[in-house]
Amino acid sequence: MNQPPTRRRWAVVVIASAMLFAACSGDSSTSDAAPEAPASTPAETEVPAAADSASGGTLVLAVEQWPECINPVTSCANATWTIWSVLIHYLPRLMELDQTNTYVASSLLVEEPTVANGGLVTADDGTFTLTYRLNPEASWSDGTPITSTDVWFTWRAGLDTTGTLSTIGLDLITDVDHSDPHTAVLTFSEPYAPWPTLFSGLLPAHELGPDTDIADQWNDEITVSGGPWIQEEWNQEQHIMVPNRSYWDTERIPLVDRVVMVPREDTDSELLALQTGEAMAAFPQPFPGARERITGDLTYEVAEGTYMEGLWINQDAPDRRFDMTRNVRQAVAYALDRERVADIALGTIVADPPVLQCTGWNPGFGPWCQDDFARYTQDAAKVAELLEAEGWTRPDPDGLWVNAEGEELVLAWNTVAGNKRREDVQALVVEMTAALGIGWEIINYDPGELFQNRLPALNFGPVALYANSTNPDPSVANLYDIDGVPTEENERTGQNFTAYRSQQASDLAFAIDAEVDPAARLELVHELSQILADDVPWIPLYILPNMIIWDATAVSGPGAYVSSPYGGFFDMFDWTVHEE
Amino acid sequence: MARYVLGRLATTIPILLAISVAVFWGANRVSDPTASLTVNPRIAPEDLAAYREHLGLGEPLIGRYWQWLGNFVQGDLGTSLVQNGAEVWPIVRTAMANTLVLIAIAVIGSLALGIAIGTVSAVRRGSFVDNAATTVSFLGISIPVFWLGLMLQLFFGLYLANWLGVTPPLLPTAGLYSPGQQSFDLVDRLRHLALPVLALSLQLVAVYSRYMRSSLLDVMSLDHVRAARGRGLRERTVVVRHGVRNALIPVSTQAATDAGQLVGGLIVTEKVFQYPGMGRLFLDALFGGDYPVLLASVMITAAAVFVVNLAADVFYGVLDPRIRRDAR
Repeated sequence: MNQPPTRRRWAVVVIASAMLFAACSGDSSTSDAAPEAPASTPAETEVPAAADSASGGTLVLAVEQWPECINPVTSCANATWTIWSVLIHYLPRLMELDQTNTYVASSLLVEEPTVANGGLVTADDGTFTLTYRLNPEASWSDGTPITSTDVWFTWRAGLDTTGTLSTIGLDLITDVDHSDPHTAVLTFSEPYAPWPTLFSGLLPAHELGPDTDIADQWNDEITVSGGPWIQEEWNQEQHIMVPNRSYWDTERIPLVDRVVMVPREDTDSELLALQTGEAMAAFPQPFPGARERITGDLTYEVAEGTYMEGLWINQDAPDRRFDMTRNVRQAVAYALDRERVADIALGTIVADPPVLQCTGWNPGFGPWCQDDFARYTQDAAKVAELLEAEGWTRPDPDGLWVNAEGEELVLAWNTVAGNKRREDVQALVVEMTAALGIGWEIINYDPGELFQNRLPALNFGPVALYANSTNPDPSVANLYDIDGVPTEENERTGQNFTAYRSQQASDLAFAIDAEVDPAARLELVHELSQILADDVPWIPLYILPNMIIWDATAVSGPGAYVSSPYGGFFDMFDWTVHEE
Repeated sequence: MARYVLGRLATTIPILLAISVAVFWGANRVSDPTASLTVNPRIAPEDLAAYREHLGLGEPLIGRYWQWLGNFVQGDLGTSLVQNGAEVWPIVRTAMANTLVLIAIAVIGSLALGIAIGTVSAVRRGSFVDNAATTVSFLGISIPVFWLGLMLQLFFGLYLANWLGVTPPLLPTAGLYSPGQQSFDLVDRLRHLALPVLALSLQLVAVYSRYMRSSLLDVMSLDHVRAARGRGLRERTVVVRHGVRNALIPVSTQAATDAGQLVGGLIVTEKVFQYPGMGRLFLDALFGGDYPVLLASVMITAAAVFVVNLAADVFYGVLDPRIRRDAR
């Protein structure tokens, strides 16, 4: 138990301060504040009920990766933290993800476009029309109404800005009719099912236009907001936000007076900032030992994140000693105890981490992920059956499988060197598959070498352990596009890094993108999912969790959007701080 | 002396060129500003290819180097690859200013303290004070900066603050100023500088005090000091006027060398304390593949090391006129 500050304690401070800087002793704010410092430890402080402290105060948040710039269209917007810490709080969306990660109409829309209400129309000529009806009460923070012209401008800025990055979907739009300010009618050249993912950050035409190339604008300042917050300051040291009191969505007008985000660019720094009271909440990458290290007044919430980690099997691996046939891939999957793997990887972060049972869809988003991979539990008999069917033998019952050419079943395996979680997984898998006759040759690389040089050139593996991001929308064409296998001919473009060449899977993946009817789309997704479970282009292991930590004595409210692609700070308009 | 300075300048240019080639090649080998885009499913391969073209990454390495060098010699440091075309010079200038403040306080403070401790140790050789200073110095030299930084953060930020019941702590564990601070506040800045300066200084004080002690002991045994004593001068005058002044020569050289090295060598301290200086800029640019920023920071750092070392040599000559004569 702490005691009230005594003279002896202050003597220590004075001496320590004097040793450092004579000037420090003149800090009236600290010396004045000291006698009034609470006599109890934070643990003894009663946490005020949210209703008792429903407004005011400054919320200080630690941010793990600080954006280099905040332009919403260029490469700045590729950084997840540009979205989580900046854009999501200022730019209005047409469709948005709710707490269950399902797309719903945002408050900017009068209603969600559906086939039934005429919002989604596929014409006989194959064109697709999408009609958004905008809320007439919606306006930017400077009072200018949000209109269909902003939808048009956002579309054009996405295509016309120098250095624009993601034109996916926008390039299928042939026209945006903005003659009616409250109705935007978008015409696509073909049906585009992931339409809810588009326009997740509307841009103000009156502020940024008329030039639709906005590369030189909003790189360090968002001058007008269409969200709950208004930017007061953004630089490399801090980001200050104040409430948008004229926000039309009155339920989301912030309760605190100010939010200050500060960079704390590694997990230890974030944790220290929370422990010392220099920050009130953080949304760090989950770290080993979290369950033991987050103690005292700090509390945390863990939920499924947006990255799926697994063993990606490169069928074109240049150094493979044998073909990675379907039987071999299935045998490897049956050789793994994936529950133990998930536990060794994430057990110190979350109790009983779930195993990922589908390839491409995150169970945290929508109904897309079924348990197609649940059949792959460790099964020595299955391993033997699959390998023997292709002529593999095991001359030494305790040794490795050997094929007809005399090659042992040893797989080169790459991951990021120094990543403890992944190296722990490697060690466990090596141990657990040895008894089943499968060996591994582990060659790990630094991230730059693996992701920049080897992955795009398919010069890895045949097995690599890494994480890939998932999208709430079940669009997986990039992963399984048969023409997306990086080759010399296509100049190494494409993201089908498993070199999985199934015409049926590829066609289904594109059909999923073109099916706008949700029920029919779900059927296609499940059909593809079963094919992928049979073919095992890669072996899913687990979803990396998201985690938010906060000081319960300082702030109430975090935890509702932990698994959201919008980040754990998305709903901070609902948070309150407990001020003394 | 002028010829000497010009000669040193002439030998530096090829060294800087060699450094730039090595850094340029190394940076392009280990990092790529578009790396994170490769596995982003929302970015089409053709968009990525266009973006790389936009950044000029499609050009051969040697062509890009020559272009960079041509611009650099004309004073154009170029634009950042990851900050959407932001000018490099303002980025480097801000980091440099922060680092210089940190170094200046650490080196000047450490020098003053180190000289004082070393002088007392030498004058009272074998006393308790000397033994204590020696022990603490060896401790200071042995402790790695990163470990010391973490310990200082825990002690001042956590344990002492909890003991005193002060939240947030008097000496902040990270950053340049307090969250929400929007105007310059000297006291706030000094509070944030305290721990990084302390982390840096402990080792410097230890080194300087050892140098000063041994240097002063050497000087005090020389003939001219004995002669001064023989002329009946007070011991204090002998020590200060004839001892300390001559003993300062190696210490000042060491301090100047340290200052130059510290410009680029603050990576650990700045990382631990999230201090936005040259060290952190270097790391961010290296891992982000932002080679214009990386090269600018390395070249400026290398030049700073050279200039400071040259200044040390010149200063050495001021303290010891025999060196000036040799240089001629």
